[in-house]
Amino acid sequence: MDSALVPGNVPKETLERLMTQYGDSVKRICLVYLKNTQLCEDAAQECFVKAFEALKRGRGPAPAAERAWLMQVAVNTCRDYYRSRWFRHVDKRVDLDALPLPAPPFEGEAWAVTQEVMALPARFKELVLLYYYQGLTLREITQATGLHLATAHRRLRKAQELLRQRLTGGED
Amino acid sequence: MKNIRDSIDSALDSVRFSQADRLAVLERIEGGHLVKRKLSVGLIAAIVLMLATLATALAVTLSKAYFEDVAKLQSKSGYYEDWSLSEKLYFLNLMIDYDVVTRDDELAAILDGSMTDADRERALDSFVAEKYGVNGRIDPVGLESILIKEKGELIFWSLEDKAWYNDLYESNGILGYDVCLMSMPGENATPPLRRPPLSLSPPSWTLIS
Repeated sequence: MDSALVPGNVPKETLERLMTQYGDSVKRICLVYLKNTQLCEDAAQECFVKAFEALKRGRGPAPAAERAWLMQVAVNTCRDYYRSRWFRHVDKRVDLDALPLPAPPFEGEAWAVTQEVMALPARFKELVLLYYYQGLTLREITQATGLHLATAHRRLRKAQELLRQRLTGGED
Repeated sequence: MKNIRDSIDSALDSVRFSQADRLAVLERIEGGHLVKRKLSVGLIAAIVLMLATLATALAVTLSKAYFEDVAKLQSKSGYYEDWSLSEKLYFLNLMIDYDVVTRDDELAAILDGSMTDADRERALDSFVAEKYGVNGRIDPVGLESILIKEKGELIFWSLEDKAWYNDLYESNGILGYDVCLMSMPGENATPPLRRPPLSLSPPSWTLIS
């Protein structure tokens, strides 16, 4: 990859680095959120395009907040897809055969947990993804989602409760 | 809860931001254009269906124009058997123009005038009798028989086609008295579901002495 500058004086390497460092996580977040392999591809790509546009306009994050910022872009992109007319008319089932090979065996606890996270309502799902999957603090989550801190707390608690119920079959 | 991260990473280990994804991002950025959404099988099927519908609609439009020209001819000169040779030849040209028939050697011979008029008319009558006649007779040949031959029995037509049929006859002044009138409801028509309910009270009878 050459080191030429892309428009707006944002080094192409910056984008390359972001894609290398966070690409897989972003794509997985998109898949869990959207539950559609094709849409998740589009959304993940769009996330980096948006990130690049923001960097170009000088609206990038401080280096320490890079991860939180990129996850915010990913979640917002997924939200846009989720609300779009297109999304409401596509088959949202995850086609396991459509996942890239080699695919792991889709069984066991890991897959069960993933499925339950996927099945959560979107407002809870994004909290779980950001908090547990990306390890963001609640304060970072409020910045990423625009939620009030108290709301984020409440939703996260509710999401935990839902997940626990579903994973343990209602037992504590 | 702590294992959510590991679970997702493990379950979705095969989900990677691939080289193709990277290239797509770079293409969008450098090309300055949005990547087109992938065409799903459903979308392709929908496009094919739309094109097929469009083609069908075009075909129907063309064939309707054919019938409308025949209706004008019938309005002017009656049924086929009463048409002059030039009108019959005009009808043959209509059939060719609207792709109802293909111009072959037989039809070309009729049209090019190499035969006598009597032979041309005889050949043409024979051709029309075979195509639109009833048991080889040409006296029933007219708009009605042509419509039924081309579009099937009237009872199987759509309501829109029946309404069009009615308009066709009416606008050309060839509507008979025994024709059942069919038309589409107008803008002010009351849908059956919104029609006021009929009175449930029994009619009152008066004994006439």
